[in-house]
Amino acid sequence: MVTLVTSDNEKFNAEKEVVERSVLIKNMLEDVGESDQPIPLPMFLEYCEHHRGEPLPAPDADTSQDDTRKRTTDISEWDQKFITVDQEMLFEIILAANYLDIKSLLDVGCKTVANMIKGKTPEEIRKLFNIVNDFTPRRRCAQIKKENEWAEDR
Amino acid sequence: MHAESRVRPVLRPTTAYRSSQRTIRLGQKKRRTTNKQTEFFPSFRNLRMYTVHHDISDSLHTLNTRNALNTLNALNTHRDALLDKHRDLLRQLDETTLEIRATEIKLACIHNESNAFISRLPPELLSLVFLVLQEEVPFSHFAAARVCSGWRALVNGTPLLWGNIVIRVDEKRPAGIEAQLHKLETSLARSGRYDARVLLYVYAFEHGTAHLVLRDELEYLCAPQLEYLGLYVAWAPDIALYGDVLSNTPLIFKGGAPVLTYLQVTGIAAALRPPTGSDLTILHVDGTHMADLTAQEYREFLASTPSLVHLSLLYVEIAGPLTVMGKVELPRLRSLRLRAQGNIVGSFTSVLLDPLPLDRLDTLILCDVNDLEVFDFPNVKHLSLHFCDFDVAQVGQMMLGFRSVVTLELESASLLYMALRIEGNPVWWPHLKELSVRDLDPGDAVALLRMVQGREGMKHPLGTLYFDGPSRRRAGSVLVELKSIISISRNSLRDDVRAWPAGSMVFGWVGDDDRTMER
Repeated sequence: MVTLVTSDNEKFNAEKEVVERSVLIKNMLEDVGESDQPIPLPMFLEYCEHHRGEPLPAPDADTSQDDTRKRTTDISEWDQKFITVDQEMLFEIILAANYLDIKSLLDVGCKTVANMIKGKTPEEIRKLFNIVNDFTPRRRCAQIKKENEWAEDR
Repeated sequence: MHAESRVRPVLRPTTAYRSSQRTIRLGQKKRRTTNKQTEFFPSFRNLRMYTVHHDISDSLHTLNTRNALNTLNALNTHRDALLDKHRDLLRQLDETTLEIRATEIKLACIHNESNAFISRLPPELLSLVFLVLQEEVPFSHFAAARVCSGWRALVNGTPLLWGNIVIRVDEKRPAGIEAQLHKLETSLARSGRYDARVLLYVYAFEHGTAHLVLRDELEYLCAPQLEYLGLYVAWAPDIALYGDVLSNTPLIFKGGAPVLTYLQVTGIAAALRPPTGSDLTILHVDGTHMADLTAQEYREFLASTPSLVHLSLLYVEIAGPLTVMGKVELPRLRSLRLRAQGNIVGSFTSVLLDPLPLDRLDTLILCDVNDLEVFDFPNVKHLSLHFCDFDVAQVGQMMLGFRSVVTLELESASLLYMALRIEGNPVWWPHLKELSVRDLDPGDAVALLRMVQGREGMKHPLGTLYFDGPSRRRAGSVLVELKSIISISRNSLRDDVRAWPAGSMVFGWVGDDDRTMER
């Protein structure tokens, strides 16, 4: 068993097999060795518990372009429910997955955001993510206008 | 009258007065000579009044002119001052507007950074989101780039997003050729120099001079990271002359395309004479409208691709004398796909096959080929036949010509089934292990069963029989018997049995003619 401590000092006990889905924690555990020393980290146990036993990505699997090309925005039903949270939490999960190096969770997070953007106009995307248009008028008129000619004709 | 008595004392005779009197005298003299005009001349008394008025008027005029000039000057000065002030105010307004806009932009940036949760993602994660999105919806990064300046900078700075370039030259589409070429240049520039592969598909449709315009525009282009190039120029009713085809002298990308490994040339696009070189391993030629290809040009073009591994020839026909000219040096050639025109005759096939080192082929896919003549394919292990209708003599030739076949894919072909169960020494195709049947004719089911049984009896049994859905249904009563002899799978042969990763895998998202192979 491993003891995980959140930033607000809440303690969780979890099995090593579960928490080792995070490459970061796996490496930390290897560095620390067998120890009672607690490891601080944010919430991610539910996800790892559900995916316990699934094959982990190869240690040297990188995000090469071939790997990227195979991605789709399909998400399993459980993952979809898990990731159905408000935007603030969604981006926290993505950041945590990236920090903890949990590739599958990072994938789910990125696919979710991609699905949110899919098929929307720039204005709709701005509205969705509370983004304000900050283009200078000059840029809007020249370069962007020229690019829009072909960007809209894809 | 009253006014005259008041004015007269202060007036002295002036030069103007005397002059006017002289004028009047002249007028009187004139009156004497022209009595008819008397009524038009004033009396002397009235004349005095007239001259006095005239004098006052002159003076007032002089005075007024001077005053007017002064006033004019003053007004001009005032107007100039106002104009200066106006200009200054406009300038201030412009400056203030710009300042307001700059402040708004700063506010927007701060807002986006602090209030938009998505801004918490570091650039590498956001660009990963864009890549995932692009994989699902090609060119969606165009919309992302127009959301805000931060996203735009990120999109433009992610080379992988710019690696898939599709240029459509079509008079019916809103973006003209100039815009498309701007897109090409921009995409090539943003796709980075060495850190991303570039896939370019140029698609010209219903444009009579597209091939000429493209030749001009692409001639000196440098694309150091261009790996996949597809050129499709459709025939148009008002097409301009396109001259020779498929010369070994490239006319486009003269600036260099050193890592080009995949080339797909379709129809009139061949007139662009795309670059070939030592890195080119996959070549797909669609000969539709490639009407003037001679045997010599075909041979020279092949010779310019010394590293070719996979060759696909679709509807390629040879014009002029069908002379046989010896082998081309293609030491790495391993697979060939050949689809003939429906009415092709054997001699065309001969000219197409003759320059190729057929003994090096590992994989062969034939479609609509009915006559292979006497060619020998001693090392072909994977043979796929699509809509090939060989007669008895051809089947006999095939038994001799393909000695190493391990996997065979075909539709109904009762003659082949019969040949493959003929006992003798040596056994025909002794290494055959996998048979994949598409679209089985119910009448061939028994012949297939007999062949499987015969191979079993000859101690050269098949390992696996693959049936597609219709074949499984049509096998009917023999299916049970077949299952008792051989393992039957629902799947077709493995993808790697295909001659090469079909173009549809590379350019699938723009609609590829390779799919016609499947009919």
